[in-house]
Amino acid sequence: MSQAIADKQNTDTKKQNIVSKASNKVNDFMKVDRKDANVAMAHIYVAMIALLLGGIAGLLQVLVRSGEFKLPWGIGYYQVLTVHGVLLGLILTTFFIYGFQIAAVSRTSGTLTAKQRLICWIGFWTMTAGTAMSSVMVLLNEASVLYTFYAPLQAHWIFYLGLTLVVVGSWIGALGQALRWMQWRKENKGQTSPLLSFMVVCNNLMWFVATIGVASEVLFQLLPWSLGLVDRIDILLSRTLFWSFGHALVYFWLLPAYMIWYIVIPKIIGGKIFSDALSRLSFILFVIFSIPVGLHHQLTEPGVDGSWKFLQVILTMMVVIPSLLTAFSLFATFELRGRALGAKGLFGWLRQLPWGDARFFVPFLGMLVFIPGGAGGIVNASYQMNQLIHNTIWVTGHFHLTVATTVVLTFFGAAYWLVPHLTGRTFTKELNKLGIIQSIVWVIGMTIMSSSMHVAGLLGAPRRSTFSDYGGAEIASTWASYQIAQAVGGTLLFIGILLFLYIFVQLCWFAPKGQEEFPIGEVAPNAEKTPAILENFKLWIVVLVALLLIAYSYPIFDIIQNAPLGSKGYKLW
Amino acid sequence: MHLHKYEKYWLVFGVGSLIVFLLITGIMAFHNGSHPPSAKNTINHEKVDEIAPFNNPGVHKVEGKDWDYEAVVVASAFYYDPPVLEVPVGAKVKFIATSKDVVHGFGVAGTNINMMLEPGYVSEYVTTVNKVGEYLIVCNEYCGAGHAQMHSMLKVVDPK
Amino acid sequence: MANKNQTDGDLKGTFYLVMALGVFIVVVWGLCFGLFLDRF
Ligand code: HEM
Ligand SMILES: [Cu+2]
Ligand SMILES: [Cu+2]
Repeated sequence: MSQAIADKQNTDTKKQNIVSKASNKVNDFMKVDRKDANVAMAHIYVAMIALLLGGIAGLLQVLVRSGEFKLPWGIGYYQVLTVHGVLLGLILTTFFIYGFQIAAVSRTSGTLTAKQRLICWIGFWTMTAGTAMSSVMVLLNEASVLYTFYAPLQAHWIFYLGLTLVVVGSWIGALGQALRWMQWRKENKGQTSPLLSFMVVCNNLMWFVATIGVASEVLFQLLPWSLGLVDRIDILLSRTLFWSFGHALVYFWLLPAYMIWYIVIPKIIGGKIFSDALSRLSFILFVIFSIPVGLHHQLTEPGVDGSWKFLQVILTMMVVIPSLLTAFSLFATFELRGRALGAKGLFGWLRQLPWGDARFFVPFLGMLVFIPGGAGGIVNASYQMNQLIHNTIWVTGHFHLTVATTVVLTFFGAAYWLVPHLTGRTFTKELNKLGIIQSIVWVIGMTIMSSSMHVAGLLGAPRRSTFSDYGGAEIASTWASYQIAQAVGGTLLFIGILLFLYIFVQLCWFAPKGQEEFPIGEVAPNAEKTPAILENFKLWIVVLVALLLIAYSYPIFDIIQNAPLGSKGYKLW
Repeated sequence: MHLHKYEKYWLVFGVGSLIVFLLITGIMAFHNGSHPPSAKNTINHEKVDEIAPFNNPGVHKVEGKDWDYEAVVVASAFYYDPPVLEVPVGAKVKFIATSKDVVHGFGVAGTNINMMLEPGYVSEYVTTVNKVGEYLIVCNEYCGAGHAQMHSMLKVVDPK
Repeated sequence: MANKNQTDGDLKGTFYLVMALGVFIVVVWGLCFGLFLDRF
């Protein structure tokens, strides 16, 4: 593999020379600087610990829910579920994303300055300290409130403070990455900025705006209340603030996967990026439409007018559009490449794709799984149809397709070049084969687990519920049979996690030393110039804020205006 | 920005489908009144037992309203009052429920009745129960250690 | 930007695949909608 990579790097270097005359350190560009690699890897190590522990929790959940297994030592099911949700939904994702994004900025905008790198390290340690604080409180059974921490269930204040630090740390890290991109723009006035860095900045901007809601919830509501400074809390306001962040959270997970699909995959298959401008357009659409849609998670809640819910349902459908664009761009990239290799017929180009290359194959499976995932998501968001599935195990089935497969498999596929690139090792043939096996195990396990979750959910089975026979109700025994299937699928998934971690350990410490490419696709040479308006963040921030005000100011005003007596805290676990 | 011809077709189809979804759900909502539960009445959740209609949970026949029966439910950790709701098939029933403590769910398996119960808010949903059967009601929002033991039953019976 | 030299015919396979995807979404939605109408 290394010879091919060396060749590719040569052509890459030439391109870089043309693209960026401002930088003389062309070679540093190609390879992420050692010191930057260290920050990136630090994030990835934490992510992998979260994957292992969260995976163990997931295995325990499916076993308990099968009805055949009881947790020992007084461990509670919901304690385990809190571990699973926090570690996999929040920590694995955020840390892996930051590891990837730091490397991506360093690779495409250039090595970080000492100051930028320091900012990234401060962000890392803040997030890690916060993670440790929250985890300890969960382990002490002081915070079995699940990763959505809905009031008036009240966790220990240290749990909330820990989560605050994770968010604040993520702001710091986001700043470190953005500063490097801004520096590039200053040094290369009038030029279109590197696509991957641009996308990183989009994701961070969206994340920053979205987390303002949840940060306000924690700082102004949950922390004072759990510290005993105030007695009561406005429940609906806290939920609405939480969900103003919650949907953007899922796009924060998804956009790095899109970055890999748009930019890395074309390079791996030897093709070109389908369209620079369309890629940027779809990211801008995500920035604008991912946040003012949170009410679609509150469709069955009292206290919010139906018309306002419907308005946000309309905005939710808008955020589907960039995914439609993405689907076309990806297939087009594949088809153009296959045809360039001489493929004939309608679908002959499919045969030309490098199916044996885990760096392509594993994310490709992720893309496929996004088709049922996305279809389910549209159903969830369809206003009154939400009653079919709200809070049923269907929802769990849905996001194990979108996050736990589409995003996770894309990250796994990316780890196969990112980790060795950063550790100075190589992704060997044997590991490549294992990676492919790993992804197949994952998809089989997930198909079993997720489809039985979808079906049981349509039959009314609730999510976030330990095993129960519901007083011997007939329907509950039907649900239980699907839970056996979930245990089978979940066990396969756990094996998948172990396989991946084995590969990861190899890539960190044991695989042969060498150079692994950080693949960055190029735009077709005769492409049109990207309209400068797409890089005008000031404009997009104005549009975003306007939409946020339209979607949220009246509902929030109304919630505060008509607030009932607030709630005291409860610890019911 | 140049769009490929097929990409245009695709976007027309895709965006068109989304618009159709929105039109169907929108007409169902604003013409047929099929909204998800969105009642806006508030209540003092610490005095629920003293406030009508929650001072008398259960199924009541009503006159002169748009619906025939009111099914009044009080949720608290970890049970529903009353434990069984019995209504005649074909009746138009308004479900009225609230929580005395934390957030609970009210999901009736096999039906579209699915609402969040939040302290301080009254949740309502009106529907015509048109199929005989026993429908398990479960709490589908995590509420604490006894969450999965929190359930009741909706019996739709044929009075003949 | 799409390559200006390429003829539109190049992407026929892509077109069929995304349309199949679109039809899949519509069908799933329709089935769920039917279930919603069927239930009370
Ligand atoms: C071994 C692999 C996995 C298994 C067996 C598994 C199993 C489960 C099960 C059974 C639940 C639902 C439990 C309930 O509602 O009572 C659940 C919830 C969840 N899972 Fe997983 N999962 C796995 C991997 C993942 C991964 C990789 C992610 C994320 C990247 C993830 C994210 C979540 C989240 C966010 C929840 C929601 C927690 C909540 O409702 O509070 N899972 N998982
Ligand atoms: Cu959402
Ligand atoms: Cu509950």
